Amino acid sequence: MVFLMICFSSYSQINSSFIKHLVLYDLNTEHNSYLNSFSDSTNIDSLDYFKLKFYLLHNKYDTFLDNVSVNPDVLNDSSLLDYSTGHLLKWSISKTKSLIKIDSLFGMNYLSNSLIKKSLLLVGDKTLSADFLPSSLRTHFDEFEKTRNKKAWVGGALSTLLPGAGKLYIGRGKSFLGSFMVNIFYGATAYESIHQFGIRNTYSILTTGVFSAFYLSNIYGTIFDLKRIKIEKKKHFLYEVADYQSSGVYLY
Amino acid sequence: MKWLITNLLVFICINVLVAQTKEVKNYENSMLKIEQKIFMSKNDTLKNEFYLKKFNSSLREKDFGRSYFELSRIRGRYFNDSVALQDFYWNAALISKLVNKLDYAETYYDAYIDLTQDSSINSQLLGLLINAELDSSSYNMFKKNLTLDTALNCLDCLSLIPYYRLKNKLGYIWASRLVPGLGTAFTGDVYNGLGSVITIGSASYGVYYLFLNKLYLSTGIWGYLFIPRFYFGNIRMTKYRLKKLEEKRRAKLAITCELTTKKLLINYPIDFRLSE
Repeated sequence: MVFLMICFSSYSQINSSFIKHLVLYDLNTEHNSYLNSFSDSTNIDSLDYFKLKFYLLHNKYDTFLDNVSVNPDVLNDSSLLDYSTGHLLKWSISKTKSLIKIDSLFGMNYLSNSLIKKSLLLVGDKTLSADFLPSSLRTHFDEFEKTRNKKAWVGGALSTLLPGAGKLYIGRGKSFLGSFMVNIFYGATAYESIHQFGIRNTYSILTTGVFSAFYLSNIYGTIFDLKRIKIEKKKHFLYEVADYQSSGVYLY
Repeated sequence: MKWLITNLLVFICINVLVAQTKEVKNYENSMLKIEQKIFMSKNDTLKNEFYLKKFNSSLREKDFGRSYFELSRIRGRYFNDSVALQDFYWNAALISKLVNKLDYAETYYDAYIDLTQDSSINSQLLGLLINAELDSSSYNMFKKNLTLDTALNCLDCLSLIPYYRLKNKLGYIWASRLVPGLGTAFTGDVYNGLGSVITIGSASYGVYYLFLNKLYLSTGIWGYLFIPRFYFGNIRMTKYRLKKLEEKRRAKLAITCELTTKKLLINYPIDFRLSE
């Protein structure tokens, strides 16, 4: 009887060494077949856990998040949480925040003190101190902070006063000469035509229109570009944090 | 007690039956089962046998991507049966050719020839197909041996595809240099060619008109901003269209060649050797 029961229990066990073997040899189809070979009705505690790992391995983050709240056991595995937040953050900031929320609601709130959560709060709040960041991440944060403190209205005002100056202010030094020269060229043609034929002439209206379009788009471009740079730098910093967090953490 | 034993036996039987039904004998499951056996095996020769089993199963299912993957796990030195090794080298050469890994195909084919000294038409035809896109001297050597059948001459197209070049490319570019848009139109892109003629023509006339009206600053600026961009832009477009035309003709040649090869392979079929 005991022997039979042992046989039955071993039959339904997931072999984690075999899964490691499948991962090592990159046998994705077999890995999937193996996990699906256990029916959902079978009460195997670790099946959902291994399925979640499988989703993470294949970057199916949406499915991972959909299933993680159903199986809160996974939230007890700190190395899996480190791995998943590190990889999720590279993919989506909002999804990472979702995972942190799930952890606080259903798990042990392990992520509340993590580097990723602190960094997410840091990029959203200027008053917070960045002292907790390791020196390798500090450089990236300083770069982000430098851009974060720049004002869009200052860039716009500088571009209004001197076309291209706003670009210099937001850190796009290479665009300065191009913007400046184009505005000078179009301004010169507008000036020449008005001087020669008067403001009501068709060609004058055309050249003035072209000049105005370039002048205004330069101001708008500066403001828009600054917003884009801020997002870029924020993403870059968080990517570096994610990289730092997930380095040396393995899924299997 | 009797009741308990009977129930236990019924329970066991039901579970065994359920387990058997679960074990659907499809391809994926069989591949998984073999992999489990590989995992459990401690002996390299035994492992190799299971790798070969997986390789052959994937070939039977025409799952060629997977066959190529499994192929990389098999080692020739663990074979005990020389016939199985011959078949393996043949299949490995053929699958590598099918997934376009010609260097591997050549290596496996050479191993097959070293082992068998096979000089049959099928064997030489496989060598010819592998070498056609790889090594022109080996290809010519194979072709020389196979000239007994003139139908094989049609395979010359295989070696021509990688070297196909469009003739008089410079002529198209010079046409665009002399009359902007003409070279583009010659490549078959008439609308863009015509568009370039109109754009450059009207821009040049506009600049000339500004000059006539003594708007010298505007002449210089508009002339500098537009004409060189349109003119050199058209030359760049002609070069791009030429590249596309060459690719299109090469693809057409490849399709024709593939059809010819298929016709030939109907007469001289090259199949996988699956003895099991």
